[in-house]
Amino acid sequence: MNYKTIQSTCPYCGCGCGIYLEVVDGHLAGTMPVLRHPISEGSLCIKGWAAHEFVESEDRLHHPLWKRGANLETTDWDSALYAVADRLTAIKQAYGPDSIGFLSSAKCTNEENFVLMKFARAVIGTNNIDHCARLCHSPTVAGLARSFGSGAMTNSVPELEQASCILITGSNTTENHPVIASRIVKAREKGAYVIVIDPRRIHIANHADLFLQPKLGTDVAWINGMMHVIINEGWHDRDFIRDRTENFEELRQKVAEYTPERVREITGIEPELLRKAAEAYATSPNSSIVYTMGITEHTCGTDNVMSLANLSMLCGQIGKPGSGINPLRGQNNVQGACDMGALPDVLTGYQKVDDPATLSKFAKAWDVNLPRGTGLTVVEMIDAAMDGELKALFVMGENPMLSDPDINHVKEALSNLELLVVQDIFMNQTAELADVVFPAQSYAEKAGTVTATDRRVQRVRKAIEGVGETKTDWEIISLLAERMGSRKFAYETPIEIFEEIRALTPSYAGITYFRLDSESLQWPCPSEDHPGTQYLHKGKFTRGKGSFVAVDWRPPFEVTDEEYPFYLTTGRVHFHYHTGTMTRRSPTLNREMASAVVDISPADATDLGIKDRDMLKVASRRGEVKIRARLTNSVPKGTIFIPFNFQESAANALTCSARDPIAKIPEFKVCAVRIEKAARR
Amino acid sequence: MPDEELDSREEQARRISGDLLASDKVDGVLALLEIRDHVVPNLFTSPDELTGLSVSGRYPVAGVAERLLRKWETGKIAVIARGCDERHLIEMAKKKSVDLDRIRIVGLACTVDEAKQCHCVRPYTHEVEIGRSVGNVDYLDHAALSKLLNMDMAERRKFWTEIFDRCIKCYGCRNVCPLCNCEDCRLEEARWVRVGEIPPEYPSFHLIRAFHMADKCVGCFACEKACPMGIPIGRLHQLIKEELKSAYDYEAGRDIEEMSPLLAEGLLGDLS
Repeated sequence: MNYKTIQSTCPYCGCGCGIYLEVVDGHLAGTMPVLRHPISEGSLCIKGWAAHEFVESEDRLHHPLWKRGANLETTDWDSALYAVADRLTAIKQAYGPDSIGFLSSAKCTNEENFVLMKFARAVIGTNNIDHCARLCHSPTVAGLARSFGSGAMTNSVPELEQASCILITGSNTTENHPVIASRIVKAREKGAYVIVIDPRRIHIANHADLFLQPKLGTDVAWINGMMHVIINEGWHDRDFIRDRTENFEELRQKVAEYTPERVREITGIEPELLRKAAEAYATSPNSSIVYTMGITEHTCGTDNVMSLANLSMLCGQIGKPGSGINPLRGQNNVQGACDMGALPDVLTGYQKVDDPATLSKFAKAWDVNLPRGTGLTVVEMIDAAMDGELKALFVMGENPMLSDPDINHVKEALSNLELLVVQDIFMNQTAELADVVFPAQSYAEKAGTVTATDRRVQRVRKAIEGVGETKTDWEIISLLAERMGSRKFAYETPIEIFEEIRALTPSYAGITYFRLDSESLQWPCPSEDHPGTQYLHKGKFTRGKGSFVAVDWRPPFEVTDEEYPFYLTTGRVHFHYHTGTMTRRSPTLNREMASAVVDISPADATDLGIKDRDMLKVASRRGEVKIRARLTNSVPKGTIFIPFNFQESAANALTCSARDPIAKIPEFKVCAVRIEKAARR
Repeated sequence: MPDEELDSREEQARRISGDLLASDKVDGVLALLEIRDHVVPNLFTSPDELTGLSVSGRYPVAGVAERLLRKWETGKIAVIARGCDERHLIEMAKKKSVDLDRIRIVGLACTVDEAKQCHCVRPYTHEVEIGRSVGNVDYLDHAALSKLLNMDMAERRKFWTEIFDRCIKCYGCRNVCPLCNCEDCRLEEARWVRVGEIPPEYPSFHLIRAFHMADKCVGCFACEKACPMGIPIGRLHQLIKEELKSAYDYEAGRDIEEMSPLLAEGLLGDLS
């Protein structure tokens, strides 16, 4: 008889909720909320409560696989590791290190992201490393870095309860960050004024004081419009602007062009409502902005983010408890994967790859010469594979065959590679194309740290032994590095990796496993006696003065026309997570939603003669999917919504890969489609 | 001195658990283990582990006991139980989902502070072995309850419609409750509640749960504490409990021989 509970951190979204994994006789038996947890305080969402369910699924990958003819066959670790080491070495010699690319994972620990990043740079010698943050918050990292000097959530999750006004935009908070939504609802109970601005009438709009519904892809226009009203009314914070910012004049001139009437033409928002939102946000003592992909996943994603930064600085609504800009990160460790330098332009803690001091610090620690110049991003790697410039791709815990835009193009590109290596816990659409597949371990089978959306570093603890012959991601990469002749990967435990991380990363320098044993710590935490940083930009921005950046509204890349008369927008649903490899194996979650539906307004449905549950064919210039209709007023007439979680109705067969020029994020949120009823089978 | 009392309760709990384990009367003691700043349910199987045993903090352990005994089929465990835990176990025994012959209940009396935190009226077990019973108390939040009762019909409808609209269908209220444990949960069946939507259908989701819990709820408020959206489910159950008490003098979990008034003999038929 053995029953114990192990404290860990939820493996799904970026909230960072505390979970206890119940272990009975060595197997996971349940998940319970951690009662005294700083984020979740004894609550969880449905995904958190079900976090144990997929771990010991029968179809976990148990053995390494390699391609023999057209099939993937079981092999042993030695053969698989040597095969990959040999091929990588040969490709590096023949075509140079930049012919190899790496996709890291926001689902893996900080330690694992660090080890893969180190492998790419120190063993292969390339900066071609990126991960799916490119597809969610790269405009946040780029935009806020330009405006403030640091691209992370400025406040803490618990602080939201101290806000007196919360502006939520492009975030379906109750569905995708449920436990953070809980803080917003509690803040409203305490008197906070909640504004929701979203093209869809999402659930949290029911619990807001004000709901504005702009047309898709018009965010810069309404944000400029709000600033126009604020300046005209004199609601802006002159002291803050004078003391803490620069380039105000440029901004003032630009937003002068965005009169409420012009904004109505672009966005459809009535001037009176725009004014109400502007007044509440600007004049409330502590206003906070909460946003996610509705802001970032546009060809103007970086402009959208910088516009929100402009708005916050204009009103002095930043650098205070409960007041700031709060991009909610989507994955349990997407913040950490960025912090660890699994990005093509930075090493750990956003230290630039072209900074000589940084380069020499890492070169000394790792005893190698490091590559210079920015590497390729996720979408650029796919294009380079298509063009034949990228010869090998190493994918750790990602599934670009479902998560990237225009997946028909992705498939063609991946098939063009000389070597595709996938390291995952399940067979997925990408692994099916791989030459070698390494079976990895899930969050419940390993130890490490993850960093939640509010820069909060927390422990993940091993609850059960790894299934089959699986190994942790850091062990696999270390073994590979050793086989390629490196002696800098002789790690015995994740603690050793973390010690190396903090020695090289000023913002993590004060964080230790010992401290994390009893508390969570928010970076920057520069020394062991530092308590961590609850909110950023107090008194001074990271870059010194905050910079206003005047931006103009630009229409989306693809607009509707006669042939493709509807707008498609994409996103996630409450009951599933990303490409569904975990949640669709979870009975609790699958029971709620076993297949995808397309949300369509009753008005459009009537026009097209569509009834609820009808099977539809939705087509764009890039592909088509079959999917059942769900009639709902959450989408406006002329716009439909498809979740990207389901491979059999893959939203990303339709989306386009047009991208933001700075952050390189694809425009997942807008493309043009046509809809017809599918023929009866 | 509350500290002294706490210490002595912990010592008592460890001593009794140690004796039970040493004498092989039980295979394990289900109690709370203090790790770092947290307490977690844990099964202690050897006397040397007991230094971590804690009686501070609270977690509804009866559901854990039920699942463990079902899994292991044979064997006996002790459960360090507060009044609410014991009442949970009694209700489970009425439904035959646990066999009380396989459970040694070690009664733990709550302190005044603990009782207040939980809005408790009976913070003790039938037989108290750890701590001292503070007797019958009344820490119900009467102000909040009468506020709900004093609303007129229109206000009530508005209040509950709006507050249930917050629900994100986490099932936390059900998951945390040792007594909301039907094998086939109606809340998950599409014929009763449309699946895949938040908020879940109103009022079916919440009404089904309220009906199912009407004669089972022992008033531990764990559901309300687990709710991420601040829905006062515990208070709703409390109002229903009060009705049953005033109409039938029935209280769930009070006595294993006491049958729910909602299970009239004629209706029960062969199930009894």
